[in-house]
Amino acid sequence: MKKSTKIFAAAFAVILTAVMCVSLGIGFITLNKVSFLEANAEHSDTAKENGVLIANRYEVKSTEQISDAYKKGDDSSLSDTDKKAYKAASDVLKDIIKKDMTDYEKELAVYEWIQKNIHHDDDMLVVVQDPDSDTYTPLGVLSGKKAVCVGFATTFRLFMQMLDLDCKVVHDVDLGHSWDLVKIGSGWYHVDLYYDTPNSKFSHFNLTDNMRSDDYTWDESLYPAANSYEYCYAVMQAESIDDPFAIPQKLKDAIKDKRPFFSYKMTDSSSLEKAEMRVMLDQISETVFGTDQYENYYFSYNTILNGKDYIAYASIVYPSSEEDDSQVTEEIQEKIRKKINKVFGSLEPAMEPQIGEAATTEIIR
Amino acid sequence: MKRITAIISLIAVILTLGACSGKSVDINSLKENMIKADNTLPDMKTVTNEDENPDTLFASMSDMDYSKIESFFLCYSSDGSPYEIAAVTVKDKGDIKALEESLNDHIKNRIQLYRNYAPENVDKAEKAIVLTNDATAALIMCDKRDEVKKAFENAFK
Repeated sequence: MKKSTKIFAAAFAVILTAVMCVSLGIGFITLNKVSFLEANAEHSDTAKENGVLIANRYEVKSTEQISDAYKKGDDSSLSDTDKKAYKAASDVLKDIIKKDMTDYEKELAVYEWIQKNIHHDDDMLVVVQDPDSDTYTPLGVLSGKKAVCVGFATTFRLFMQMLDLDCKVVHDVDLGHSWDLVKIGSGWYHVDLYYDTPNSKFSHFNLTDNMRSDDYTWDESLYPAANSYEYCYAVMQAESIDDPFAIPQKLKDAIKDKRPFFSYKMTDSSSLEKAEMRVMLDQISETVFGTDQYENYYFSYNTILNGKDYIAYASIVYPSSEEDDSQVTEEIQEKIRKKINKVFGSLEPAMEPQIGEAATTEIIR
Repeated sequence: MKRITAIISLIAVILTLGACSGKSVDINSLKENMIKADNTLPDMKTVTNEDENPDTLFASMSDMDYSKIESFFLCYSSDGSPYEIAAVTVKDKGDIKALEESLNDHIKNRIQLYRNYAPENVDKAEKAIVLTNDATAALIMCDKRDEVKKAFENAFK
């Protein structure tokens, strides 16, 4: 074989070997990709309570092992992490649960403790999350006192299950949010502590399916129906009124006290009175909460028919004091108007230019 | 004849290998130019492929296999508001379409997150864009989107 031929053959062999190595490398990478996909396949099935990823980042994890250990009074079988959660949750229950409390009272005590002591995780919207941050498991929530929706839901569920109350974590069909469904007496009720914290207490406490479906859609085939009014908070707290026209003053008084939730009922009301209640709330929403003064308030409302009782309920999320324009009274607003007029003079609004005309602004001094 | 055949085969193999690789752009200067293009950005943080655990950081914006990535930077607002500027270069230009899709998925996830927890940010997030040039893709979510887009495009001229 000629020398040049040998060189070409050698070069060709080297190139061929390199190509084979690249192919093998691609094959190896593909295998890794398949493993990666398999590892994530478990999250693709969302027709379940646990093991679901919410907001593409927070996994709902079961804590039944902790509540079972609590009910047995024996945490020896728990992992170290679970033992910490067990202790943190037990300490809270020791403080807030009294002997002879009814199931509803226990639920209320847990709800109020979480609503008061656990705050939103302000960093949940940040693109790159702190890998050491845990605001979505009960241990992380009870340690750091901050939670995302999954943290609120799983922590409430842990407490309920420790108290031997049936409770499930529900997620919406878009996997963007989760909350709780708890059984009190013979009925189930929705509880969403994420939205009730910090300024909207009771707005999402013990709702029926109809009330909850105002905001979210979930796979109802996965969960029991919540259609009982027995422990529905809006029904339990409804204040009797004789006249729908009493609502505006009552609402104003409630706003003055910064109450976040109100509920009024009329018993054996006529269809006209029912319509008046609905229109009353519509008008309040439009004419009061549509103004600049209440711009930063969030007002929501609805109605329930429960037997002979027609109930109108509403909730308000109050702005922080920095955003609260309602502090500016009529007197102060008048003072502001006078000052502006004094400095700038009374100005007429600019006229829209007609075709062929230039716009002019007339200043009247 | 055998020699000619061998030469032609060799050239064919080299060209094939060459076609797989993308034209790389300097990711650091791309980052500087893109960020500079919008002087209204709020307080931002930046992560790149040179940081610790780059695969975990990369996973914040894309579910693409990190072994396919040549380099990246992600600049995002420190308070979670809808400001993100990122660029990613893939090793194989054939993966650019998959990268583009994953970045669009990331935007959809951000929009959904805002819809649930900060609806006032949805509008701005919906205006975000993803664009590609050769083996590099950019994600732009900010007020001066067009200026940042221009800075990205200019990097390849």
